[in-house]
Amino acid sequence: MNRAFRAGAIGMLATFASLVAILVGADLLYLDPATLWNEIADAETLFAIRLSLITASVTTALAMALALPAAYALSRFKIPFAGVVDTLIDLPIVLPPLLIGFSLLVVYQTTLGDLLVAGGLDLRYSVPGIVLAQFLVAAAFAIRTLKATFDSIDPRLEEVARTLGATPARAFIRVVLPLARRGMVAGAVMTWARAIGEFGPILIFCGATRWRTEVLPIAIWLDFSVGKIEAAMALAVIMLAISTLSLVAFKRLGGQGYLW
Amino acid sequence: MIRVSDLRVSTGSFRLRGMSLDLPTGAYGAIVGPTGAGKTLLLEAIAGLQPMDSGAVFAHGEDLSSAPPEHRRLGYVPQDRALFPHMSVARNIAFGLDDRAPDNSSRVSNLVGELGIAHLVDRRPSTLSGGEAQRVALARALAPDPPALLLDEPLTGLDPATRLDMISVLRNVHRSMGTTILHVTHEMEEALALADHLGVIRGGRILQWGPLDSVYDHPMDESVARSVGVDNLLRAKVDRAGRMVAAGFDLRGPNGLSPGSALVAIRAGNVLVMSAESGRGQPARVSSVRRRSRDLLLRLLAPGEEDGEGLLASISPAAAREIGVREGADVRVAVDTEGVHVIGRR
Repeated sequence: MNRAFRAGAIGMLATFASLVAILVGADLLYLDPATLWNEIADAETLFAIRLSLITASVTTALAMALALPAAYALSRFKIPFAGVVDTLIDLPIVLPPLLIGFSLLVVYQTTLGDLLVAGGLDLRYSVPGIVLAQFLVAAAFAIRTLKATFDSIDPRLEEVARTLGATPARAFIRVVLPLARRGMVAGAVMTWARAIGEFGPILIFCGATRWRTEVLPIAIWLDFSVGKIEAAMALAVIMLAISTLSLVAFKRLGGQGYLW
Repeated sequence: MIRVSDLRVSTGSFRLRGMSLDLPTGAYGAIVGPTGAGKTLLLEAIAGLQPMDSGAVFAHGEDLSSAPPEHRRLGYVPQDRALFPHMSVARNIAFGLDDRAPDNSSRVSNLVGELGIAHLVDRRPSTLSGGEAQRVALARALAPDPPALLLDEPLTGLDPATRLDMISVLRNVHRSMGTTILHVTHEMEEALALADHLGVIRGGRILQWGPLDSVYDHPMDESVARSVGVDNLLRAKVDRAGRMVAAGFDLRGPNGLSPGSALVAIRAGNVLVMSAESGRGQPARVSSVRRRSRDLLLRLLAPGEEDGEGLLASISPAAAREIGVREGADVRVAVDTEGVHVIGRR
């Protein structure tokens, strides 16, 4: 009975791992190396790679700047309506991606949107708009991963630091930040990976325009939709490599928390 | 000096309910109570780590009730020590020192020398034993030279030999630095070994507080008596002549007792056991003998009281051999009049 139970559980695990391995293997084996290299060296592909790297990096910097204090507040302080705040933070992660892009467009149809446009902040169909669309999901994700990091640090350490004369800010800088460093780097890596893979909100809010809002996922979609399967697959292999490396880095850095 | 006046603190469903204590400058106070009595919460409130509902905390002549922890100058050693895991022992100890002060390294050197941890300065906390970690935590708390120290169960989790070492370390620190120390524990033995003031805490209240001898020898009620480890808590009867009898033994209690019943506390060490041939005291039979770490605990029954709770007496193994103590043996017993404490009248 014990052996059958163990075999059944491991069997299920092996089945799913095999399924993912088949998908990855199919992607990798679809193109020969020469074709893959030619597609990657294409100017438009390089533009998509560059735009993705820039927007995802800016998004990650902004998300971490916001997530660091926000996650600390969520981890340490008693916040009014904490359950509501917690749910709102998670919402961008679980909402259908298209809905986030759609909601952003809807905001621009309101008085707030009019004010933003009047203030020169019309981000629709623009590169800054890509950052905004990535940011909404990436920031939620960064807050989650950083909160898990802060939760793993014993608050008693900060309390003792304060009895030794440290202000709350000094205790945070001298005790919490050094202990959270690996978790922060791991969180940033995964936030970046999440941002670079964002597709739905960008498609709706920024459109799919070649040489303008063409980040990697948009480029894959554009190539796929006109039948350029080799180009789409080359980009897919790049995305696969980025995702895999990010995940490995996250795990090696001891990243904590759940991944959506 | 640490003075707590009518302190009330709430956390979840637990409350500290009007706690007061007064620890003079340079004194060593111990508060004894079981797990969940509110010992840690009390120290946290004094240290400024728990918001108070009401009451006041004074230390070194100042009202600290609304001061943040960093301004209280109270060294705090939590039960889990909470050493900073990313710092070496030396950096842990220097944490509370002014970074710009020129004599930081000599302060750290003096402390590690005094506490016998000079060989540990480059180590990380994760590599330390329980006793070593406790000394480092103590050195860290002492480094800024606080006038008072708060110690939360500092000997818990240490093996017996290390506990003895730590007791002597704490004694030396108290003696050489003159620091006022408030120490909470669930072990009466720790309080007896170190403190000159004693408190008993239970259910979020300090039941009794005062100089060690007064609380230890004169517990105010049954609950305190049990907490301070009184061996015999006996229902006694006082007759019209003022004679007090408990468990069949004439106790010769304090003079002037009116007739009725009383609850009396007698430590086993205040019961003198003699050989049956001595002719002194009262006759008794040994109903059981239990070995303890330093002595034997005897249960003695008075003639005609075979079903009673008896009287507990302690005796050294050598004395027990000398007078032939064993289960069923006849002996004579006398109770030291000074050791009979009436804690309740009925």
